[in-house]
Amino acid sequence: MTSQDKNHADTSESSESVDTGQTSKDMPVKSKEDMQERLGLGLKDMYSSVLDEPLPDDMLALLDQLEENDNSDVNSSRPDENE
Amino acid sequence: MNKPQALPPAQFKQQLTEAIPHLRAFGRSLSGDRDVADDLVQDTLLKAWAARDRFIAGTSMRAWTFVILRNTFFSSMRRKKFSANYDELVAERILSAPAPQQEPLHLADLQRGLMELSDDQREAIILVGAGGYSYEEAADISNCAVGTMKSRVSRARKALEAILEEGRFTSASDGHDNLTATALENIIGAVEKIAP
Repeated sequence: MTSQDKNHADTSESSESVDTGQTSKDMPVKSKEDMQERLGLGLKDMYSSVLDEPLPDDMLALLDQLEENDNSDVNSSRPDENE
Repeated sequence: MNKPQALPPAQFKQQLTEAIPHLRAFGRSLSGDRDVADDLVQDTLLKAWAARDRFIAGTSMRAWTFVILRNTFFSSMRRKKFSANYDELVAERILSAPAPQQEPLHLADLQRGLMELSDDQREAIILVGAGGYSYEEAADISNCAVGTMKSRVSRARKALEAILEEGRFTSASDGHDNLTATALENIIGAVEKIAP
């Protein structure tokens, strides 16, 4: 509790003043919260970018082939036929 | 007890097709490699088709096929001591930053970081943190207790944050990218000399 209060008292002016023209390039991460946020967004972005990719033709062809094999199995009713 | 209802083949195929993008995203995040992941998805489709009588209509096709994919992946890893190999095409892709003034994460760094985690933790943070699955769904897929899943996710998050903050990676995954960068720089350098 007390440590948080201290932080609040100090940050009200000092860390918010970005207008000084000094960007802290040597500090890659500003705070723990920043990293948590970046990680959360990064993970979701990594995953959803794959979801947006078009379906590969070979996977669709594989499913067509499997379905076709099934149908011909039923028609011929000889389970030994497909290897 | 009601006998579980199997799906008609056309519907099964339809649902399996709809699961493909999710299988690819899960597989790629788990393996860190596009080709390995797509082979894994092909395997999963074959196994799912062969086992389609065991799929119960009305249950989640995605969860069912995720179990097949992760079991296939982890058993093949154990067999051939799978080594990570990162997708060079996307290595430099920058992931979106929460705010413009923040340095964005690089996909390659995130993937390298994920590969540093234990299998359990990596799977947990992918399902919950990246895929948006609930702890309950993720626990079902990974065949563990919900409490176990929660602690895996939280430990994975802490470990990943630490890895990304310090930018420290194993020499194995580092070397790969350094080589690529050097080769690319050499080519660019050579081209610049020929055509200034």
